[in-house]
Amino acid sequence: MDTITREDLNDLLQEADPAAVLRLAEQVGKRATVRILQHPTQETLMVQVNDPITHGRFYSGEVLATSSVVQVNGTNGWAMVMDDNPELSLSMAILDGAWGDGCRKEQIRELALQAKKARFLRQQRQQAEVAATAVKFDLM
Amino acid sequence: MSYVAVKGGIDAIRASRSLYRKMLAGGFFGDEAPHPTQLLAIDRIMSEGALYSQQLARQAIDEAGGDLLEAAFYLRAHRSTCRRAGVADPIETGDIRCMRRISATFKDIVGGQVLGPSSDYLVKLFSREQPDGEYCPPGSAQTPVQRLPSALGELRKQGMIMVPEVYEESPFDITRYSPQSPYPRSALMQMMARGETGAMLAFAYTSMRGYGDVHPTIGDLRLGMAEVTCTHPFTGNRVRVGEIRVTAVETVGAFKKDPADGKLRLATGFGFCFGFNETKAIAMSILDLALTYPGYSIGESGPAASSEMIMHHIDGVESMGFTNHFKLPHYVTFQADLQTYARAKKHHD
Repeated sequence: MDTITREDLNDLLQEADPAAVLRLAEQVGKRATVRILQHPTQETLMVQVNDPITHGRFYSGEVLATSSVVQVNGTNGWAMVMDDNPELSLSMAILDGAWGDGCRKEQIRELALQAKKARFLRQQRQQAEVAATAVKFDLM
Repeated sequence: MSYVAVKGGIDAIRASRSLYRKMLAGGFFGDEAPHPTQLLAIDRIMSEGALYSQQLARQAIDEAGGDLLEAAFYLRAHRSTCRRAGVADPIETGDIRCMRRISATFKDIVGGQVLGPSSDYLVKLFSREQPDGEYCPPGSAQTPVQRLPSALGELRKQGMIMVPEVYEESPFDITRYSPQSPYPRSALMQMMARGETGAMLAFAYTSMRGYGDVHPTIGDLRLGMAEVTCTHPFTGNRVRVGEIRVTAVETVGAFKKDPADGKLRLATGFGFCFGFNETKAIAMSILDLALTYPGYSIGESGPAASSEMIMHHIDGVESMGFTNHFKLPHYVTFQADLQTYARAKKHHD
């Protein structure tokens, strides 16, 4: 539960308190040299699906994402967040670069951990609510 | 065709109804679905617009005054203005975090029948009364529901399900190239995944009624969350971008002689779309059965079994655009029509 990797950041920080993510990115900006290589940009990711009938694949549509690329003290940082969310994307890219650079790593980790715990609880609650609808019918 | 009468499940049905109401009130998904009262409309146009964006879908519904065909058009148009960053890792239906999974083929399946949030059990009458407060507390759950194997898995393991041979190195992309007949399976599946729900339902219905013979059994219907993952550009490792709501259906048709070895096997069809939209996914799986096994159609020529028919008539944005273009000034062409009419009338009358 306590393990956080750099790859986890892109996922977990989207579920952290957005204000806290922005604040931490600002703090990184005050301590480190941040260069924006790609301003937040709307992009799409094509979604492909494994076809259970033929074991082939097909495309079902695209997901809208906002991605940013930065450099923090010369270390590249990247983020791709769901939907149209430029501020969060840029802040997360800064935190990704900061993690790579070793800047404020412990605070970033703490923020991601909080999000991970909140997700765990939310999914646990959802699972329990869904499981309450499990049914075993009797044949008449 | 036959049905089996079953009884029981009252508590689960109550919990299902309650969870459905809770979902539309925003209490189930929370921030995962920021506009709960429009959840299913948003899901429908994200699928038909072929762009998963809850924010823009909500905005599109507002801009279009609730006209879902028009709203899907907004999404489709916006999609064409965005750069494509790449292709996400394939979604495996077995990895979907299930919110609902049922099977009409077997009563007892691995993971159980999970009704989830569903309107199936609601009486469709307006009521001034508040919901009856029925709710099964989470504590009553037996086992956590997460990733479940397909209910048809056992039949597959036993070699009872046909695997049609398809030779495609990579999926066809109808947004980049115009497919030519005979259409690759992946092109047809992509077209159906973004098809208009009503059109697909109508064509699937032709196959059930007088123009075909597809009357399948739902093998596995699941609604849930699928991960969207890609590669981190700087570490080269897999990274999760987010989760999307999806619907996936496998249906079982009749048995046929497998051309691979001549043995009798069951034919299956697949439906998949963005969002929670059971009707569309089931219709897609029926069309898949009709297209893949046209012998089900009377004289092999029913509309649902025609790949030309399906490929060119289920896209809501295209068909709406073509239909509405008749409103545009046709003054010159109509003058020509009138002249032709005048000459014909002179000769005829």
